[in-house]
Amino acid sequence: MEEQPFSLTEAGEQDSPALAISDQAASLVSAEALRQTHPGVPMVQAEQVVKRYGSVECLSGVSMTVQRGEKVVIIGPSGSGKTTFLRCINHLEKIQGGRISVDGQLVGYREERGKIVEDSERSIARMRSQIGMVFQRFNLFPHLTALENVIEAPTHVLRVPKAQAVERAHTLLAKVGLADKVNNYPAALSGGQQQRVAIARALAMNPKLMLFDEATSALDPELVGEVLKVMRQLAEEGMTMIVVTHEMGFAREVADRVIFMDQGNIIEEGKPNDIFNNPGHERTQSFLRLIL
Amino acid sequence: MNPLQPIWDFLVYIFTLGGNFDWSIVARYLFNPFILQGVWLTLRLAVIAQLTGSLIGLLLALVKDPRFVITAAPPFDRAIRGLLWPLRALADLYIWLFRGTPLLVQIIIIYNVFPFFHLTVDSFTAAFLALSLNEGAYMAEIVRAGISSVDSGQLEAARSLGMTYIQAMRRIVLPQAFRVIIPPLGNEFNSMMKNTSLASAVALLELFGTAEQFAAALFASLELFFVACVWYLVLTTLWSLVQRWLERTFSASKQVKLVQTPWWQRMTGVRGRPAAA
Repeated sequence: MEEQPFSLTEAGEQDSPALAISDQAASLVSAEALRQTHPGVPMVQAEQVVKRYGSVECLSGVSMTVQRGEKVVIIGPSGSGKTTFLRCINHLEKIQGGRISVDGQLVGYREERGKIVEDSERSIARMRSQIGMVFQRFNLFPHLTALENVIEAPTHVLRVPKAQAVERAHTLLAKVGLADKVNNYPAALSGGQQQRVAIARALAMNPKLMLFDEATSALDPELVGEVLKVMRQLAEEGMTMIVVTHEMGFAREVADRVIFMDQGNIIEEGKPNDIFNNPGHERTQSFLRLIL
Repeated sequence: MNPLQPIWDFLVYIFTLGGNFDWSIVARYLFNPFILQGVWLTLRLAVIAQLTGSLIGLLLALVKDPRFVITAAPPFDRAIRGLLWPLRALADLYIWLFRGTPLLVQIIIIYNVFPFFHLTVDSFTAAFLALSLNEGAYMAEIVRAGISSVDSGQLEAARSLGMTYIQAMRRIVLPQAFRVIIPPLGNEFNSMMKNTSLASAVALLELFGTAEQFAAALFASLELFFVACVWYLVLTTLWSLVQRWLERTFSASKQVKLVQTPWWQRMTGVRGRPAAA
């Protein structure tokens, strides 16, 4: 890697009080995002989620609970519905059955006289603003610089004053190792750099929950590490994360729980050690045998 | 006798259409104040009709976008969602109607239909309405193509950050779509400037209408129409310069610098200084 290696914990190791303060401010996850708004309520609760495209059933009754601060990694073969499930969590996909709530609030739907109906655009948007999402194809805004990408949503959705948003964006971009790239357009960034900007962009909204949709799958192998490093740092800082990935090393190391999905169902879940070393289900065994 | 005399005679014969084309009339009327007023009127009509038509086209394109939602507070959001399909059907009907009938006929019908409602419209308003409505139908398709040229991940990313559909469109998708829209938009405005001449059918004294009046009075149609053509060419040429500037301003060159060889170098093979790396 040509660019200078970055350390996400460096500042904290200095004992100068000024630096200690700046480190506090410079964490990826804001204190606000970690505040327990509804203690005792799980961060994500999905019950019997069903998703169909026409007659094809992508999710056939998926239930899962993710606790606050928990890091859950979803693995499984392509077409198993893991990405679809992730997209249902912030209502990028409508669901045909079941319910999903984040931090105790129903996502994308509301109850009206006992019936569940799709929620209004504005409250769906408000819900999404609290859930960060990182996409496989980065989806950076190509007409905006890295900095503008990061401040776009805070200034226009949360109405944060621009100066404040810029300051936070500089901090975040520095923390993901891109202090010198703030004024670059996405086209002038490598895949790994783009994905790190995308993570900073999501974090700028102070989300309570981060969803990673195969964040490293579109990257050249040598660029995967720099993105995983940022994700690892995020996990250490206590962010609640749901990660769909094929990076088994990352799953083993960071996950509190690994979920194996196949054909729209959760086949098996457990501690990474249990899943990787003695998977209980035959399907999990054959999948892992192919992958590891 | 001058040996070149026959060649000269031949050229004069051609350029005066056998003595029937009086260049002095062209010279006299090219800068006639009424003609200049006509040019100004044509330009004004074309600009406001194009602006209005583009706005109509944008609204139609948004309504036709399958991802379109109207932001409304509950409980109205559900009612409004129910109104979407009739709205879409109306948009389709509108586009079908205005693309399927001749502009000239539209202008004349609009001019003649208002008196039935005891309203009077002047020919400028009638022409403006017809041109805008007609343009809206074409711009709808152009804007729609522009929107669908933007990767759907852009809207998804914007919405995952908490933007509403309208916010995401305005801040993220449309600025990117605009790059794709500029070239056909340029074409449309070019046509628009020439299509204003159809308004002479409802007695609007724009460029062609004015030329026609003089032509009839002087029995010199060709000369006056030539004058009109010169002015149309001036307008369209100026516009092509503006368009080139627009394209350069909004092009992707902000992201990736493109170095283009000038046309005269490409044609002559002359190499300029190599572009700095």
